[in-house]
Amino acid sequence: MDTPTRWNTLAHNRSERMQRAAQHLGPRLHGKRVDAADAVELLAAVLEPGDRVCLEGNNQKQADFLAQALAQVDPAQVHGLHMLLSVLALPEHLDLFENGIASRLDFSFSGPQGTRLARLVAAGQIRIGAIHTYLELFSRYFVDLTPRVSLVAAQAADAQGNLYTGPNTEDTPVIVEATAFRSGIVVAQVNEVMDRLPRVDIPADWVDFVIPAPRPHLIEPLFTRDPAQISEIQVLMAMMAIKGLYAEYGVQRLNHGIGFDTAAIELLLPTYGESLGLKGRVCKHWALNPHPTLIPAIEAGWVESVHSFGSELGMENYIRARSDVFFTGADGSLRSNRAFCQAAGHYACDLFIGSTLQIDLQGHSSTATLNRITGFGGAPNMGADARGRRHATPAWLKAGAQAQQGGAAGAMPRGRKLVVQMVETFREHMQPAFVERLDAWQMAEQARIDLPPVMIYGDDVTHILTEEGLANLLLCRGDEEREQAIRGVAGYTPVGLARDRRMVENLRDRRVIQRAEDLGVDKRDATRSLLAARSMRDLVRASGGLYDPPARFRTW
Amino acid sequence: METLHFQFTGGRTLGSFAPVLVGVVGSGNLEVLIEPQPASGLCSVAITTSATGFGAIWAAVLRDFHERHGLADVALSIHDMGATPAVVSLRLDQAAAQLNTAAGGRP
Amino acid sequence: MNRSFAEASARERIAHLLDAGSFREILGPAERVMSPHLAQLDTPAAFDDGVAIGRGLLQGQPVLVAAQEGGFMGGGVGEVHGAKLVGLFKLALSDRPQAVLVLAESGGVRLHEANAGLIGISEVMRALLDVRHAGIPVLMLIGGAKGCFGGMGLVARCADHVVMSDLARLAMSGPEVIESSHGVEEFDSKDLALVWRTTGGKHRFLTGDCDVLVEDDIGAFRAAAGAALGRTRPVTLESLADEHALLAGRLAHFGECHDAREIWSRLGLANAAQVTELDTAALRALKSTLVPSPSPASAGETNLHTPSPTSAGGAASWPLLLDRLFAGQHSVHHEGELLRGTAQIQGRTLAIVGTTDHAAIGVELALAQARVVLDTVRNHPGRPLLLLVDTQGQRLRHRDELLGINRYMAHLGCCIELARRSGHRVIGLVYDQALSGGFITSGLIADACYALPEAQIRVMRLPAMARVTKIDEKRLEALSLSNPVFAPGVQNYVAMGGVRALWHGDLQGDLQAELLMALDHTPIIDERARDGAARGGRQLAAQVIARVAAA
Repeated sequence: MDTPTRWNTLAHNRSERMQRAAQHLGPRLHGKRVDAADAVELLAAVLEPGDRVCLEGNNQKQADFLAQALAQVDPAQVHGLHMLLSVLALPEHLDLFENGIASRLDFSFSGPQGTRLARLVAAGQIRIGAIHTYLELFSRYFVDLTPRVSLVAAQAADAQGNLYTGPNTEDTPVIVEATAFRSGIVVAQVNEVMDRLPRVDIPADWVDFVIPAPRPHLIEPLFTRDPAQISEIQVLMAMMAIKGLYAEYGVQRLNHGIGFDTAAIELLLPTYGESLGLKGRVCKHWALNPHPTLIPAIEAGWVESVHSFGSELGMENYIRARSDVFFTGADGSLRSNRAFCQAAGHYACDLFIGSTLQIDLQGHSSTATLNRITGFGGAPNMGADARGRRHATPAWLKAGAQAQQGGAAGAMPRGRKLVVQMVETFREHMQPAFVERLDAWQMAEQARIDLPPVMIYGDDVTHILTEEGLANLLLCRGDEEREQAIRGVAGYTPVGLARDRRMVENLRDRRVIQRAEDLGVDKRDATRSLLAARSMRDLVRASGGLYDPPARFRTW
Repeated sequence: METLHFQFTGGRTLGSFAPVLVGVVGSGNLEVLIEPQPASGLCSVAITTSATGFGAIWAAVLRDFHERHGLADVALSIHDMGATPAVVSLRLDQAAAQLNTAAGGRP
Repeated sequence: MNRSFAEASARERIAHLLDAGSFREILGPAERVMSPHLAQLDTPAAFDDGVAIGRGLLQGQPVLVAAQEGGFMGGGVGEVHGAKLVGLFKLALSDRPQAVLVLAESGGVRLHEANAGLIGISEVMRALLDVRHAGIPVLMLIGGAKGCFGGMGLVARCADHVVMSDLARLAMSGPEVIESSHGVEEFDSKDLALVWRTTGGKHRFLTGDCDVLVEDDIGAFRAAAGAALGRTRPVTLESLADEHALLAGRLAHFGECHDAREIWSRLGLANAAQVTELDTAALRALKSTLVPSPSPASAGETNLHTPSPTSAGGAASWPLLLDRLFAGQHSVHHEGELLRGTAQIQGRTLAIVGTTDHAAIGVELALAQARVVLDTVRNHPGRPLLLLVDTQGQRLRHRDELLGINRYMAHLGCCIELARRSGHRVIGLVYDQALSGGFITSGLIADACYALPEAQIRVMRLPAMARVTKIDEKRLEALSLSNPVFAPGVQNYVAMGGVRALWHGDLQGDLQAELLMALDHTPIIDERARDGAARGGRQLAAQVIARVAAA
């Protein structure tokens, strides 16, 4: 007789794991609560060899205590784990592989661990499934990469196991949803247990175990940029971006990639942007982490809304006091959500602008360097045309029209998202940003991955902005023009010096390339005094004392 | 360190003026001194730089500078500590702008 | 309109500090008076060697001004740079401006020219004190992001007035140096809030090491400088006695404090933690409400700290030295690392003061030596002073920086200068070690400094210098064979003019003869630059000083 249980194997298996946990811990399991000292034992009880395990390593927040605990389980008992991480940031993440606990990896970004990751891959100790964007990875949690067990981090839990993830909610909701609703097991480390949470971010029903950790979980202030480090060249480029792009297309909805270049733009809105009469006409809606450098623009009334991927250390009180601008709960604290913000950046923004390390002659842009595997993070989602988009805005229509100029008559009109790569022609140590061949090719061979890791593909890039000028690739007809347009803003790099001068002049006449003076930007105005804030203290003052920078940024 | 020399012809003379100095010799930066070099018909440039091997780029940057400003009877002296071409061009333009002001030209 | 002082270059600061268009530069960039030493170290020179000097007007009044460019080699003082400053002070004696303004932004001695920098800074001090003696105020304006450290921190506290912004710092040793010496628990150089609490403008203002605290605005500096024009603070026995009492009192009240906030609390601030949040106007208002507490007469001086760890051996122990010098006719004793007493030679009595055991000069030792000098001036007119130098350099401790060691060391220097001016001959003798900044305000500010041939004098050893300057050590060794400008060695100091002569002598009488010669024939004007030129070790300094002084 067929037993119906073969259709409920996941649920049965889940029960078995829960029973094992109860058996091993006995009275040390208080409802859902487990002491920190019993973390390793708990993990050993609920994990099985070969499990897909999602470990919350976000861009900012890290379930570091659980990572350390996992790295201590006995590999004889728990091995061959398939790790899923948004961001591989901690040494413990790689210890898992060296200790023989994990063998496969799917992730999005690896930042500080890039070099060691490359070494372990080369040594055959890690098999990478694929490197994803954040949104891609989250999507696969619901298709073919569902976690069996998820280890997450939260600010606080109550006795029932409801979780408050607060400002740094980040990836937790999407991880937990995928796991909980496929009979998976969710273990959360929390900073504290409270009688009553400020609000419920993750319902207790979705959570199986709560472990109060001995230290608050790690959070990195990744998006804080000290205005004191912004150079005159960056001010110049920011002026060109505001005049040549934001004003030109009327960009109301946008995302800024991380970095000093975009911080400079944020700090020029209330000054340079104001002088151009742009307030209210651009930059009202943002998909953006709470950049401290946006404070002056917010205070000056430029910003209507900001939805965030995560929070930023030190901004909590400022956000609380500006609930009209940010997404906050009834408790007053920020609610971030990486998955939704990524979707917002992809579909509901008209412009993405960010920096990169290398651009080639087709406009492909990459941050891949040799001997390191760093991945993508979220930039490709932001920096890609959203072909599934249907609603129109003036900026989107204008860009789309430019893309079709000189094309076949009667062609189907399309909109186009503005995707801008902003980079100085030379990086540190006189490394050119423009190259004939991206390091990504060689890196792909080294790391044995299928495709060269390109952050933003050339056919998604609409503009390239350097200190030499702004190249509008939408107006280029054919590959040759496109190549010369890129060479035309590549300055004195070998790529730039090899330009066809006549063609570049012609492109300039057609305004495919615009130099600063063509945009009406006077280079003599490009000084640091144009910045609305020139120091961390200026930012604090602009916030009325609400912004509280982390210690490493404070000289007072 | 490297010393480089360049000369350009076919510019317009500004007559005599007080020497102009812009910039600071710090990492990634440079100082540019412009002095009159009367009756030479040249814009001559002398560079001392801590970043060696970039002669071709200096030549291109200075050529473009000369095309933009076309100065004659001037001597440019540069102390450079690894500035990118962007910063070099910026300082050169700043120096030329001060020159125009000093010589009574349009600021 | 606010114009940031910190963001401006040295020249921009001058341009906006002085009356518009009034600056007339001396030895400007076109004259190319540059460092002769940097090229061989593969470092680009600057046309003005990192300091712009000249004449100008401030509120219509004639002033002399010097502005250090912090962006060039961290504002470090090299041979030419130092000579320009010395020359400017000499010029002041003939120009008689309403003030000499020094816009200081410097890490101190420029390592690439370490010996020239060290000697140069002491020459700057003597020249500065000459200007004060002539009744011309010297104002230090400190507002650069790099702060005012090292020898320039000493120079600053030799001036009449100090104006700082809360962005700036004034100290002797940088936090990184202290951390690498004594660990991160001693001074966490990455804890910027701690660094600024300890050495920043607000703390210096509250303790009185800066007279005026302003916002980071060139206009505010201009106003503060204008208010100080023509107002001197004569250096007299009385004024130095008051200073001494103040410094002793500070030690008594705050010597046990571990953090600036403790000091602020003890100063009477109700909410010390708030200080860092206040803007300068609020802090000025708050300070004006504080009642200064009376300073006990000699408190804080009795407790000399335990000696610093000594290195093995020493060139000559001080009792042996004194026997050789005075053939037993002395009553010098040591208290910890302090040496003091008197000695007889050919019927003349000398006051002896100095240090032993490679002492690290901290606040107590600086003060204790100053005490001896002041007592000598007060009680024994005309009595010569012999400064015995054996030091590993300034004390590298958070506590000493917190208390303002640069002011204590400057005080010692000013006392010695007063003694000289009051007719006491002051002879310095390096009998063992003189490292780093340890003897700038003692041996190097005497009438002249002498040394035993076996003495060790240096700013920094070559391996450490190679690490800091990122120049290959082998290259430094090779260059030091032909150029005495940076390498350790007493011979280099002789060649540079910093040490007037070595005292040779194995036989009993020889050292005595040297001392007698020194007492009677040491010039009382500063001839070190001239000596450096004559001996070939410092070929430019004297010329540059002369050119500026005659401008």
